Amino acid sequence: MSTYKKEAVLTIGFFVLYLLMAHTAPWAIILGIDNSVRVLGYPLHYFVAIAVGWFGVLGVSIAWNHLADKLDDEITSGAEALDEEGGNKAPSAGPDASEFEPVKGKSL
Amino acid sequence: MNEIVWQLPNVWMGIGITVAVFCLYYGVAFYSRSDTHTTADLYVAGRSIGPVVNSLAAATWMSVATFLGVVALIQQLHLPFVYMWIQLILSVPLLVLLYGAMFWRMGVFTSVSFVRIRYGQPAAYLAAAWMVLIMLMYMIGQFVCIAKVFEVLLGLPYLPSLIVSALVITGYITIGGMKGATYNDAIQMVIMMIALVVPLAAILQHLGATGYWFPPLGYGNMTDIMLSKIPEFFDLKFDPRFYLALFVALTLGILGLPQLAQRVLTSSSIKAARRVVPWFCLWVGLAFSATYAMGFAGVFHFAALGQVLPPEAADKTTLLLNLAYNPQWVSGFVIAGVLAAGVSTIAGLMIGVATIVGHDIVGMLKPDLSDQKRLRWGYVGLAGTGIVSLLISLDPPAFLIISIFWAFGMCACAVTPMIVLGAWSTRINRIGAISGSIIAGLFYIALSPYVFPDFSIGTGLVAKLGFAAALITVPMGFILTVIISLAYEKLAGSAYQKVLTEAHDLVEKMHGWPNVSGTRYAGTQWLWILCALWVPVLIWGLQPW
Repeated sequence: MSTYKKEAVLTIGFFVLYLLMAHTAPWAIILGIDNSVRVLGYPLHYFVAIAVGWFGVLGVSIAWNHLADKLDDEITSGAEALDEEGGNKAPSAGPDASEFEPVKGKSL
Repeated sequence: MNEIVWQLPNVWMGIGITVAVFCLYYGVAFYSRSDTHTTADLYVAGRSIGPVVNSLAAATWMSVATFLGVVALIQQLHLPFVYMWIQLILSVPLLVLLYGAMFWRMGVFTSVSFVRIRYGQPAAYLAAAWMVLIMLMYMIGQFVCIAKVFEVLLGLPYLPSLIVSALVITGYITIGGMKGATYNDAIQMVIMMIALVVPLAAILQHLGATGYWFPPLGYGNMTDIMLSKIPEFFDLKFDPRFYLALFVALTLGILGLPQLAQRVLTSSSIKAARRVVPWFCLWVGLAFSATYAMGFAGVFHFAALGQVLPPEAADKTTLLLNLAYNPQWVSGFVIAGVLAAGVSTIAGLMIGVATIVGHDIVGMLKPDLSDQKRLRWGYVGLAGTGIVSLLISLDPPAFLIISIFWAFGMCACAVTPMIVLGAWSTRINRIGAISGSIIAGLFYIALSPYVFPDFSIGTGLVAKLGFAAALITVPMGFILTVIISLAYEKLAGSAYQKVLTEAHDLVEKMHGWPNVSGTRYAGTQWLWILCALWVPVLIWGLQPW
């Protein structure tokens, strides 16, 4: 898979994962709720909401950090640049907004 | 219930603790002042903040509601409000995932700076107007809440409380700039967590929770008693559309909040910006879980006593429980925690507004100003923001106080599409972005119960919170931005190529690519799929609610 596609898959994948972790009400709607099913004394759907909404999101964040760092290294190292034709070399990317020229389009 | 019950018997103790913590905040602000030499120092702390401090500072954005409103709403709505609050943890994670890291790479100070570079000045003025409106609504709510804390908990009159607290807060934020505000925010988050979690452990112990030593998850053994008193506590209550609206109005709204984006931009490196996310989740998860536990304890306590709290008393549940089960000095510290929550949120908002006004708008009007003059404008912007908020807070419109959630919906339809789509597609242009933002934003306002009640979509809570309007206008915002952009591109013909080339140059560079291919982020297929996904949401939103 190309680095460009990896970026898209990683971003969409983690976006969906985040939603699944922090929006657990749809799980409860689909699976139904039963207050007699308990975890640590809490009804299952309540426990899932507060535990997954915290530790689940935290776990996804740690995994995303790891993978995003690797992907970033791949992108900025220009691993794919050699395969691109007709690309013009950009100035070094960094925290300086002056390198980014406004998209004018005023003639339109 | 007598009003005096929730006031500290020894008011001077509360005032003393409050003065002590504000002295600390001023000390940090003065210390940080010596590091503020440029506009980058003032607005983004010279990009010098590490992930732990930054995450603590970012985690304070949930405001004074952490102590007051949330606990009260858990008492009124029970489980649905827990679901509503939990997803707010996604604010910073989704923001960094979708555009925060790219903004850091660009070196911009705010989301408005990005909009200016991406779409041009007219779009930047529009984005600035929406963002300032959203942040002012949020900030005025905080000012009013803090004055009410003084008024209700310490028995001080509202107006002097408002004026003194607003001036004191504006003073220390103006002195310390972003660096002072960031370190103060981090200190305030620690104070908040201690003031929330430690007294809660003692309260839960008194109530019989076996896991009181870990309050966020330590009250499971109280479930049966709770169900015997309030059988519906764990029910879902609302239909699936309500839970969809949590994503559409709130999740998508908070990820566009400019003051949160600016927080990420203070990071010392792009990896440090990413590291903010897991730390943020750790702190926010702890604070949120403790808040649910406090709400649960409040419901449990009053159900056990057979008392029904009036709405105005429900807001003070945290203090009522502390007064009932903990020594008086603990309640004094909790008040310091409440104030820390409000003050830290105001700090982020104030710097956010000041950066947009002092840097973005002044920068567009007077592009040739020197950095020193911009810095001076920045200080004027900070002080001016505080004073304007104070003046509006003297006689706040009634809907402002209850509609902070409503402001998130406005952000979701008017701001989020132009930012997220602009960061991920070169095919989005200024005509599409401006049209989508104006039409969706104005529809959102028109459909709300606050401006034209006769046109309001939905009734009751879903209308007041903006959920009903957001289910129509957020899909509208995304769909219009895409369709108008692509239609304009087609109409413009070959003359459009220059704009497209510039967009490629910008978007590919902000993603970190060392070369510009001219082909990345140019597909339209995913834009059409996105529009198709929004259509059923729009249709569902149009059904009577």
